[in-house]
Parts: sequence; structure tokens; C-alpha cells
Amino acid sequence: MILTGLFFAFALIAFVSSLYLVFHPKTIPASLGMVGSMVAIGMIYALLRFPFFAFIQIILYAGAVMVMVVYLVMSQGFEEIGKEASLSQTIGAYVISVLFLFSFSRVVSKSLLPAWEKAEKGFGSIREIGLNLVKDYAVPFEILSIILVAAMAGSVLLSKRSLK
Amino acid sequence: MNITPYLLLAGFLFSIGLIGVLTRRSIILVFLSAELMLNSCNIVFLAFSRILQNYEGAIMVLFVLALSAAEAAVGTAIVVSFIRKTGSSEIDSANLMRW
Repeated sequence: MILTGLFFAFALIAFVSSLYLVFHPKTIPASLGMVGSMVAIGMIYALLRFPFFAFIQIILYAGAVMVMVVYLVMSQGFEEIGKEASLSQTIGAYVISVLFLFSFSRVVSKSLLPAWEKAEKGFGSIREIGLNLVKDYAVPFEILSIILVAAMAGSVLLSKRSLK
Repeated sequence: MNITPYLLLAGFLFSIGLIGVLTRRSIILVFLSAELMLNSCNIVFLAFSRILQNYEGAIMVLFVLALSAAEAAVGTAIVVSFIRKTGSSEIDSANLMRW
């Protein structure tokens, strides 16, 4: 099964590069790990028959967010290696995430999920997504445009005035 | 194969992102780890959207992606003004409302 092999390859890439993001001490290599894991997640979206989201994912993260991180590091002069978290904080973080992972995998493995069926023709194409977006979700879509304008105005205002 | 490996991958990525959010000290890497958590949730949405053959999860993913773009813009502005005020990119410097 070639799709299964591709899934496990991309899952491995996403896993390793997200470990890179979380454990590399320097900012720029860690954000490169973020890009690798986002590209692999985008390929997993494509394996789930949503190529549109794969494109959006790569453009948004490998393009916009990565440029933003590089801009921040270059303009603000980050100290590259900061303090470590305190021991109690680290232990707490690991305990919380292991508990989450344990309960989540229990729920997933005990539940009866429907079997994998062949997708109908044209499922996940841009045309179908767009039709559904303007047919059933027109009002949330318009609210989203208001949120984007508000975010744009807010970020201009925040970076113009320095916080006193 | 059913969607169980996809869901397990999403769970793994979510908990790695959670470790990143809770243990990294650099403010920008905390932000990137939060993005990783958002994207692992997107995998779950798309997996169920694929297996139930409807578009509700896909539309939700579209909204999450647009909101994370807006969040990136506002987050950059907040980080810039935060560094301008405190002169440091450590998240421990943000202790104004701390207990």
C-alpha cells in the first residue's frame, strides 16, 4: 500500500521536526524545525484528499510565519539561548502531556471508528470547498473578514505606539 | 487502515506542542509551539471530514487557518512592543499579572 507508506514517512518527518522545534536551544533552527513539521502536516492533509489545505499550509507557514520569525530575530536582536525552565515546571509539563497522550490514545483505540471508504469523485476539491463555504457558512465567512481587518488595524496600532 | 494512525499522530504532535508551550522560555518559540498544537487539531478535523465524507471539518480548518494568520500578525506586534518595553525576549519578563 503506497498511501500507508507515504503516511508513515510524513508522520515520521513531522514527529522528528517537531521534536527539533521543541528541543533545539536556538531560535532559527527551531523555527526551521517548525517549517519541516508544517510541510509534513500539509502533505498529510493532501493524503486525506484535501490538497487545497496542503497548499495553504505551506504558503502560510513556510512563507508568512517563517518570514515573521526571521524578521523578529533580525530586528529585535534576540538573545539566542535563554534560561531553562525550572525543574518543577518541566516535570509538570511532561506529566500533563503524558497524561493527555495516554487518555487520548485510550479513547481513540477503544472507539469504533468507521472504516475507510473510497472517496466520491471530486471530494475535497477547491470547487466543493468553496461551494460549501458560500452556501452554508456565508455569515461566519463574513465575520472572519471583519476579524482579519480588526487584526490588521490592531497590529498596526500596537507596533506604532510603544506600550507605556 | 482506518483513521486511527492519523488521530494518534495528531495526539503525539499535540502533546509535543504542549511540552513546548510549557517549557520553552523564548516568547517566539512558545508562539510557534502553539501553532503546532493548532495544526494537530486540524489533522483530526480533516481526518473526520474525510471519513464521514462531508465538509464541516474542512470549513472549520479553513477558519482555524485564517484565525492563526490573524493571530500571527497580532502576535508579532505584541512581541515587538513587549521587547521594546522590557528589553528581553524571555517569557518570564511578562510577570505583570503574576501571582
